[in-house]
Formats: sequence, structure tokens, C-alpha cells
Amino acid sequence: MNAPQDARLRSLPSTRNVKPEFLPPFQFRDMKGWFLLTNDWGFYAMLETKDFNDFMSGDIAPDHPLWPDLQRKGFVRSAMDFSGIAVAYQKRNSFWRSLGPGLHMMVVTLRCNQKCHYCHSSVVDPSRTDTDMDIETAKNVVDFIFKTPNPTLCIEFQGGEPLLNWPVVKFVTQYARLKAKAQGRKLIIALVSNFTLMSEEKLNFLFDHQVSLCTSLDGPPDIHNKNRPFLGSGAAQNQVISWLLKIQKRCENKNGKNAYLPGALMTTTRFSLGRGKEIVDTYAALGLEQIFLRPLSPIGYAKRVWGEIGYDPQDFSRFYEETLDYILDLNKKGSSSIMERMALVLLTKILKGEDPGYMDLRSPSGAVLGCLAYNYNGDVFVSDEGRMVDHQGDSIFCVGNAARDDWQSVLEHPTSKACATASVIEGQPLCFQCVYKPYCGVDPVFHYETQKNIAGHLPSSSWCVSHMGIFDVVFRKLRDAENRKIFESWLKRDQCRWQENDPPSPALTGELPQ
Amino acid sequence: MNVIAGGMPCMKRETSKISFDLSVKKNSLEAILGAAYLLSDRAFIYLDGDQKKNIRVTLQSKTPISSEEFLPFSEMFLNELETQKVRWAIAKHNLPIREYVARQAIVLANGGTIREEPVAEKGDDLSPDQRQEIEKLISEVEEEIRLMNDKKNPADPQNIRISWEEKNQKPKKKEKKA
Repeated sequence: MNAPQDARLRSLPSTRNVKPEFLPPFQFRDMKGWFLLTNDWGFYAMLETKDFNDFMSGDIAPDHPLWPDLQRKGFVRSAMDFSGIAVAYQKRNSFWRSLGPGLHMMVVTLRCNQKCHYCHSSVVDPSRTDTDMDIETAKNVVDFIFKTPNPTLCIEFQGGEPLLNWPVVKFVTQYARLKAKAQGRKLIIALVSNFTLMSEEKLNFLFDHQVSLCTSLDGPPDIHNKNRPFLGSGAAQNQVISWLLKIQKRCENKNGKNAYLPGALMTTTRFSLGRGKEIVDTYAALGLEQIFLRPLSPIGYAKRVWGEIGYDPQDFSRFYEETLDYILDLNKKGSSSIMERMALVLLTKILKGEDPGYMDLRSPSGAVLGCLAYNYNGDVFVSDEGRMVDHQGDSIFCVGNAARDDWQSVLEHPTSKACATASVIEGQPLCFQCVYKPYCGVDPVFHYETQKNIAGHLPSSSWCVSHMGIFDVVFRKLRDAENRKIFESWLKRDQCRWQENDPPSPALTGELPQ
Repeated sequence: MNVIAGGMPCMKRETSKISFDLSVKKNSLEAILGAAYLLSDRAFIYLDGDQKKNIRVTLQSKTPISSEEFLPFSEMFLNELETQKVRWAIAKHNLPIREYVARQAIVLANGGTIREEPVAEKGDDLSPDQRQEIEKLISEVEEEIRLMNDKKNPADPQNIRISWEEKNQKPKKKEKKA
């Protein structure tokens, strides 16, 4: 062991003058030059060191310049607005009333025509049609989805490569739309695809049925093609870009009505580190609105090849900060208005006090309560990551089968309950004292895969190091007024583009598929 | 805690292993456990002794290093221990406030309204009306907890366990008599 690094929660420089009896409930973090305070209700305060010391010794009186702001945010024990605080607490945890999973991920096939190095999905060769979801299973899954109680449902096609099982994608889309109309429920359908098997005919169908489209784009050709080669070999990035541009053009022609701009996700591998600027430039040149900088998780196939593509969480934090700085710089100069998705998720919680619907950072986590994943054979899993663990031979996260089980038995499955209990952040010895508690979450599947414990050991968890690093970066950026202005403009723009008031396409009112 | 010059506890040192005793009364068990948990990624931390009196803490490096190199880790532990004492004091002192706000948030989530009168911080200055209000709130929450833990009739106020179709089934029309 070399010179001691900071303890994860960073000790106070001195506790001599601290007077706990004057202090409200709050968490704190030494940000090296200033201090960050948060409370359970999601409010935060940034204090210079001297002000923090005064605060800790109970010397912030009503005539102190900081008092009004601290009082408004619930940091003054003698003058707490309990009503306002309770409203804020309920609002940021509004998903507690979500009444069941809203996101349903249907893996319509395990087949894929690419062999991405990090693929969590653990795909199989395109000849393996035995791993396609058949029509009967698809119907059972849709029926199951519509038995879950959330009034708003999102069905997301995943794989493998879903376009390899196009007939089932079409069937599910049409069947689900009819069921949603019959039950009077809001239904969103999304397709996650590598786009290499897209065609005009398929695109017409997807547009007619208002299916939102998302693909993977890891950056400039050499990074993308290294990460995501075709099965056998071959470069794929040019096809992804070609279809992205075509879809964007279609959306423009429709003037944004009945059309969702396509999205792209990037996966950070070792090859991405140090090349954030080029990756952002690739996205910006394509006119993509957002880029999502996420750490890679050692789950599924990625776990096996971690030595080739993985990295330390501290490396990701550095990459994240450098790349976010570049994005902010582009926004300041007016060169691009591209937004960073992870920051948006966190800022929705920090600045708006709302839940952004991001399953990974909820307490309890989104496993079952927020999302479910359905394998090609109808097996139901707590999440897509849980399904990937099953593909490696461990079925611990399987909570039922759509043909055999009902919603109640899935909800009451011991694994469902265990995941919910293990991911309540107040029950984590490190998390409940952490300054990022109001905004963070723990993933039971991640910790099971990396630490063989669904609750995890957070001091040694790479999940914790990664996310703490990201939070540190975002709050550091928030200190700057110009950055804050940009962040606030992002939040205003980050609105759902679904045009609910437009009349549906005629295709949506047709007969059941034959 | 035995202290030598410089404020450090009296420590036994072996290669990459340091031991010292901590008084539970002066430090609190939660603070000792908290510091131990927080630093358990960097070293093995053994706790032994009487939970009510003294805990013997043994820090052992995970890799072989000299005691001089390992000594700073014991300083880190003791610093964190002092911080843990602050964290736990704040948490315990404010438990009623956090519980009150959580209850109010749950009431709101269930479609209720906020009670405007806040809970008094220390309880010494409560008026009889306020005491009655609090007692009523406590008994309501206790009843909720009792229902929640009733295994025969598990509480499901949001009807989450009921499927969509059961909830939205249209009543069957009565058949007309011939």
C-alpha cells in the first residue's frame, strides 16, 4: 500500500468544532477546496470551506447571507419547511407510485450478424433459428405485458439483432397496438438495432407504426469497427451512418410529426479512452442530439473479454470529464448543441427534482418494479442484464415464464423481492451516508456478477467508484455559471417528441395480422 | 482508548498489522463498525472484544508491506472514525425529522394532504393539540405497518398484485328472464 488514498466518503479535516445538535439531516463531501451538502429530499448546497466550517459549528445565523438559500433547501434545522420538503421527497420518488413495470424488453432472437466485443447479449450465429421467438410465445409475452398494471407501457425490441426476426417484430407491433387501443393504455414501441439489415420496406412499416429507433454508434470508423465487427469480419459503421441519415431525413420531411428522431448509443471500451473528442465529433457531424457516455459493465460476454476491452473505473471518470468538458466547450462556442445523456439523467434529479426513469439509478432499482426482460422462449427476467446472466448458465434472475406464470407470481417471486430489498439505498452501510444518496442507486445484477452478492460490497464496488466519479464531475461542472446555463438549456430541450395529439396512421387501425 | 504522545492510540505493530483498543462508550459501536466497513476495501479489519465495553481493532494490509508504510492507514482509520461519530450523531439526532417527512411523503403519494403543523423538534414545547396530532399520526402508521406485515392478508393499497384485466373487468349484464 502506497500513500493512503482518501476514504471513499472522505473524512472531515477536523471534527473539533462540529455541533451535531444544531445540524439538520444531511450528507456531506469534501470536494477538495469546497464542500457539497445534500439531504434526503434532493436539495444540495455548495459551500466554501469557511462557510462549511461555520455551518458545522452552528454559526449560520438568520442574518448570514447563506441563510435564506440554506433554509429554503432544508438545511436549517430550526426553520424547516416540512410541507415543502415532503412534497419534494415525494416528487423525486414519484416512481414509487408507478404501479409496476413500464419498460418491457423483448428479446425476439439471440441471432446476430455482428460479434461485438462487449456484447452483453451473448448472441448466437444467424443460422440458429431455434433461438427465434415464435409467434405463439410472442403473443403470450404481449398478453403478459398487458396484464401488468402500469397504465403506460414501453415495448423495446432487443436481441441479438431484432431485424433477423422481422415477422415477429411486425406481429408484436401490430398486436400490441390493438391491445393498447382496446384497453385505452398508452403504448410506446422502440427498436434497438444495428441497422445493418434495415431496408426501405422495414423502415416504412416502422414509421407507419410510430416505432422509435435506436442504434449503436461507438465513434469514428476505426473505433466502431474494432468494437463491432460483422460476424466473420467486415466494417459496419458506414451502413449505420447511412441509415441514420436516411431516418433523420424522413423525420425532417414529416416535420417532426408521427416521427421520432433516431437515437444512438455508444459503448465505452478501452479503445474509446483518450478519444472522446473524435467520438463526440462523429456524433455532432451526424446532427445527433445526444451522446450517452456510459461505463462498460463486466456482465455476460464482456466479462470474459474484460482483459482486452475493460478498464479501471477511475479511467472512465477521467474519460468522462475530458469528454464532457469538450461537449460543454462545443456548446459554449455554438459549434454544436449536442447534449450528454448521463449528465441529463443526473441533472433531471439534481436540478429538476424529478425521476428521469433511469432504472439503474433508482432506489429500489428498476428490477421488476420498473422493467422486465423477456427471452426468446418466454422466460421472464428481472432485467436484461439478469437475462444475460442466465445465458452464461445461471438462471437466478429468472422470475417466471410468460406462458406459464401470471403477473402476481412474478411480482412475488423470491428473486423479485430479494432484488428490491438489496437495492434499497438506505440499507447500504456506505450509501446511506453518501452525499449522492438522493440521486444514486445500486444494481443487484451487477453486484451479483462482479462480487457474487446481490447487495454488493460497495467500498470495493467498481459500480460505486464509477458513479461516484461521474457525480463528482457533474457537480464540479455545476459550480461554473456558464456550464449551469448550458445544463439548464439541455433540460428544457430534453422533452419527449412524441406527438400525442396527431391522428394515428391508418396502419394502426387495421385488422389483426393473419 | 490508551493514548500515547501525539494522540495516537497505543498500538501493537507487526509487519503490515496494527492493533489498538477503542472504547465503545467514547466512540459508539456504529462509528467503529462504520469506519471499519468503509475502509474494508483497502485492508482486512478485524474487530474483537466486548461490544458494550472495548473493541480491539486489528488492521492488516492486504499486501505485505512494512509497518512504517502501513501506519498512515491507521491514521486514516482514526480520522474516519471521528467523521463517523459526526455522521452518526447527525443521523440519530434527526431520525424523528426524517421519519416524519417520509411519512408525509407517503401520505402524499397515496393521495392524501400534508398536515400543515410540523412536528416540534425536541418535543418539550408541544401543545396538547400537537401532541394529539402526533399520537394520531403514530397510531395510523402503526396500523399501516400491522396491515403490511399481516401475512394472511398482505396489504396492497395500490392493487399492484391485481392484474389489469381483473381490475378493469366490465360487470356482466344480467340475463333477461324469458
